[in-house]
Amino acid sequence: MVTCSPARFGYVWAALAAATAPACKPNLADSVSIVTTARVLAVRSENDAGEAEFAAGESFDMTALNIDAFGAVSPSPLKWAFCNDPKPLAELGPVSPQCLDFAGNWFTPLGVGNQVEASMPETACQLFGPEAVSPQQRPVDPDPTGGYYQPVQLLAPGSGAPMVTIDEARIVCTLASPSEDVRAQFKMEYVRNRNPAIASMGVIDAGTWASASDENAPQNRVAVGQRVVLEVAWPECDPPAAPDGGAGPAEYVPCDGAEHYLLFDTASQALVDQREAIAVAWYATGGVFDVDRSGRAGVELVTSSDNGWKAPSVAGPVTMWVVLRDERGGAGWQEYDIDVR
Amino acid sequence: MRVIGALIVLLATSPALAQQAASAPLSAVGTNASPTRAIAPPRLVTFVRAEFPPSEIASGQGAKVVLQIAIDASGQVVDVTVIGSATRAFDAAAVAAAKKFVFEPATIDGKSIPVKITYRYQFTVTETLVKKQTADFVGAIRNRSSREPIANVRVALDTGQETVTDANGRFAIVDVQPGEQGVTLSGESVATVGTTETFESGKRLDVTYDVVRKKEGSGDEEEDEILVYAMRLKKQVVSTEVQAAQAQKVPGTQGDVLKVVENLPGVARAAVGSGALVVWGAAPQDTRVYIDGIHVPRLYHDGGYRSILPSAFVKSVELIPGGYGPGYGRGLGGIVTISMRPLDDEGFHGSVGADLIDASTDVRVNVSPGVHVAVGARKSYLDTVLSAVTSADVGNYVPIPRYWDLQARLVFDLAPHETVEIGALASSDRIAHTLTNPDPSLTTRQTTATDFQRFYARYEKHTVNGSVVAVVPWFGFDSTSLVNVFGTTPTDVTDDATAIGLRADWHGPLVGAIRGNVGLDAEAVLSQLHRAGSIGAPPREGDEFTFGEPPPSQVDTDDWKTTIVTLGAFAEADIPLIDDRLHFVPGVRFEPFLVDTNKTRPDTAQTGITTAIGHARHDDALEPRISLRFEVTPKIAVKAAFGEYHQAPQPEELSAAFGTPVLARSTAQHYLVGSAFQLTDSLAVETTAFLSTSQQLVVRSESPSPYIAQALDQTGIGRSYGTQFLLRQQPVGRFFGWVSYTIMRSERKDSPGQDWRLFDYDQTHVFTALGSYDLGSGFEVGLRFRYATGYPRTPVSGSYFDARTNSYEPVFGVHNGARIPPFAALDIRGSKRFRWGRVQGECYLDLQNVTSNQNPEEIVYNTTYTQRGYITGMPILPVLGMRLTW
Repeated sequence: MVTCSPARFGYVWAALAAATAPACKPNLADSVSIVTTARVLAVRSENDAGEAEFAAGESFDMTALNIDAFGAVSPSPLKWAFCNDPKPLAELGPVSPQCLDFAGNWFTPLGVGNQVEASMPETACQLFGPEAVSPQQRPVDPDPTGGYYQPVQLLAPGSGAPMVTIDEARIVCTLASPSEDVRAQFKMEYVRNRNPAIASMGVIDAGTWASASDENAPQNRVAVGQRVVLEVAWPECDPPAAPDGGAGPAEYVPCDGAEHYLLFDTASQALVDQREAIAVAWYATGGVFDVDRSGRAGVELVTSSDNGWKAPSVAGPVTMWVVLRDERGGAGWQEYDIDVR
Repeated sequence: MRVIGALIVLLATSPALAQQAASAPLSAVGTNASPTRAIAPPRLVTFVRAEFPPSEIASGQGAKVVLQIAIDASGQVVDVTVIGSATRAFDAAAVAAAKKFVFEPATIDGKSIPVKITYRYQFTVTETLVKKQTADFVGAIRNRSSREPIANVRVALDTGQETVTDANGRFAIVDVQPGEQGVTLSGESVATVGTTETFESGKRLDVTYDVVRKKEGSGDEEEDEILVYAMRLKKQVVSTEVQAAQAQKVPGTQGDVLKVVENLPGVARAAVGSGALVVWGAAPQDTRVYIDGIHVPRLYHDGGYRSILPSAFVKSVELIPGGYGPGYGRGLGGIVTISMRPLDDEGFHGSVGADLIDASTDVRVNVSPGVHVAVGARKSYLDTVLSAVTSADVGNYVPIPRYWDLQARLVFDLAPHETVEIGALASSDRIAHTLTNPDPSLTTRQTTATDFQRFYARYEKHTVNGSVVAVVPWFGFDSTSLVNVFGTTPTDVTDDATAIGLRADWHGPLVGAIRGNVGLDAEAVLSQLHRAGSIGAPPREGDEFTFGEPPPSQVDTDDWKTTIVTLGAFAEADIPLIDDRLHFVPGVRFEPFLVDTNKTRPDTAQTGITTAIGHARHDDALEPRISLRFEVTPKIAVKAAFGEYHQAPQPEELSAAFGTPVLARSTAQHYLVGSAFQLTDSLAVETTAFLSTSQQLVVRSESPSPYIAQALDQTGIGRSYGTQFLLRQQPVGRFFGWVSYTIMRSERKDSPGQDWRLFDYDQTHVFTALGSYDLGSGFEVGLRFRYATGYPRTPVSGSYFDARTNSYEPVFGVHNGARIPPFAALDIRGSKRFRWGRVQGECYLDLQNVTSNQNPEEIVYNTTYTQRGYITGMPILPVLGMRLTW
């Protein structure tokens, strides 16, 4: 099936823009929000301080939202490992293709399960950050938030070969700036990222929903075939406090929402204040979402995002997951049980 | 061209006889002469040689004409009468010459008197073994439709020599100076048309011109054109030249002359809407475009809908896919040369045209004797049309190019064959496109801006000995800007360049029959660049990615300057051997490359470098170019060529952060052999087999930890090989057309240890068949069929989930191991010409892909890479247009 109407979303039309020609795009099954097979939906990394980025040698926990085909947290043991193979410059994917292998001496096993404890490798900033082993070597470029990431491989048993999921844990490295003053200021003012958290979730104008972890909460109910507009909100984060008298460092406040953070702008070679974007991924075991993903850009001060969902036409329980991701690699989620009747 | 050999028939009149005749006894007229008076006869002081009548050349016979010449008291000839006739032609030639004689008058007793004398004019045919230093020009002129000869057509050369066709349409001009000469045909029965011929000393050029005969009061007017049938001395071993009048009628071009290049052999079909020029498997940036010797950065506007030069300014376009001579360089691929149309000698001319895509106009004025002006402009409005017929925000969904171009020319005729031209060309393209998404990380924005301007002067002189001197200094500005935002990953690439060039070229006779071509071709490009974003965006050739895939999220930034100076000196000789059947054309181009960058290390990484340290690299290139053409029979020729070519790195590759500032030039060798068969006087087939090898191609570093400022390596090598065929029917009667087919393979190795892989622009089969038929009464219809293998793509063999970015990432199979399915389309063009007084008009409807074939243009995947589909081109694209010319 081919249509000459614009696609709802996606990068394809942007690529067509590069091609600068009218054309017709096929209709492909693009929705990934309805869970029908076992999948890892998200991975969250966090240390005891609630931070989501880690210096070399620091310990932290990694947790996977690993769902089976029926919507339950999968009992299938995930096999975790750091992948220590840096990707070639010619590789346009997020990690080295070697990180997709099932074994190799470039892996550091981390354990099995839906949650493992890890220690950021000592070589993380050298292999995946700006601290090249040799001063002659090209340092790795940061992402637009100034971050560097240690690849993590998650192997889930599949019907044939294991299914590979890749995550990337954010590393705390020395700032890639030629200015010592800038590096010192950054070290003083930068506040590590925290995973975003859901403040509330529910149907607009119909009250909030209780998460599945709240066993005493009333049941979330939606009528069969009913279309509701869901809204998820996250905490509002304050901008950094102004320096005391203009001389002290700016005070960035840790927050579970769209945090402000300090970014080294490579163009101006200066530190600038940025605010995270928040992306929302919607998953359910039934029904149909308007869109798979929604969110807010960093410049949008609104701290919520909505999405339409049409309940299944057959009564029964539905499990829904809402995953928040911030720009700096943080992730947080909640699970909701819905009684469709 | 017929070979005459060294035994030349010299056709001449004899001055000695004339002098003798001038001294012949005279009879005084109108007076009774007294024997005592002192009588002095008239004395011839200005003798004019009579032209040997062309119509009598073939007879090989001389003649004697006796004239009676009446001379007045001032010595001027007042009347000439034939009293002893030979033939009408000899008589006329003798009378014409004698009328130009000037005498010292006869006198009686010192007083001037009018007299009549008898004069015998002897036309002689003398055989000599002396090698003739001039050429002869003979031929016939026929009605293009009926093939009947046309009499009384004036045939004039730039040298001033001219003649008139006889009743059989035949003409002959003897003693033509060797070299390139303009030929003009005119007369009451034909439109004035011109062409250029190359004459060689001691040779006879025999051509047949088919021209359009004027039809009084008919609305069935034709563009002025001349069609020449003769085995020609081609400048290049393999090239295809199309005249503007013919190219405009090709279906799918919408009357745009330069779009015909897409239909020529050796040219791959461009990816959808890209307008990229891929010749013989070379990358688009490897093929250079010249307009009258001025390098321009592109041939087409964005989207490939239009070329950057309106048809009214184009005389012809020539594609040389490879193996070209030393006059051009700096590119590993082919060249496209565009000749601008000579401006009209007199009057006020112009055109206005419009279709669904854009509108254009041009005006050409002869402002005073010898001063000509032409200006033209074009602007697109496709965005407005689509907004009106679809939705106002259609531009947010479908990228719509917006462009304009301007042209201005001022030509001074310094002398009959000496001109100076001052001109300017400008072109601008814009695309702005935003696609919002509920997830800001999926919102995409794209803005591109591409501009160039050229300002030039051109001095050209044709000398009587056939030499041509052309000097073209030029300068201009090129700017490109690409701003893409994929979510939070920016891509910002800008390049502002100043280009300066000088092309000085002489070609003409060297020694005997040897012709030469020497010149200087200098170019300097000073660029100031800025780039921010991912090193993977925009992608490079050889990158493995899927269409529409977001770029890598790692970003960097850099600002840098480059200066690339190349100074090409070239020389070439065309040496005729074996009675002119073999042409050995050795040449050489010596070209130093100076590549200067202001920064060898990035100042944004942890290098501790805050002060830019520049780098200059100097490489000399000595490029041999050799070609051979052998005329096996008058209708069969074989050819071969070899050439070496170099190309400087692109300025954007010299970034310390995104590239390598110390890149050297790349190198290529072209080898080709071929044949040409003239099946009839208007039907020919050409076959060329080619091999192109290239080294030191710029590729991405494969190292996971390359050295600083070495993101690009020069370890790539390439090869392209194949054969191209062209069966071309020049206009005969009401029809013209051609069939071109290229079978080829283009491969690359990114480093020596790797296996060969298909080049991103490889197309195994490219087939084009087109024709245009004049139905009469101003109606014309054309058909074009195209078939092309799809471009290679790297297939996706699987995918994995990236939990951080909530995206699926592709796992690739064999590099370029799959292809987009082939393309096939049938296009139809119908037009009607009409005339309103001085104004000629044409309405046309250009229907592309009339069968609505859903041609795959790209491979796309669903989010999880578990399904695959094809983006297809538009089912049918009708373009309705109209053009008025006067």
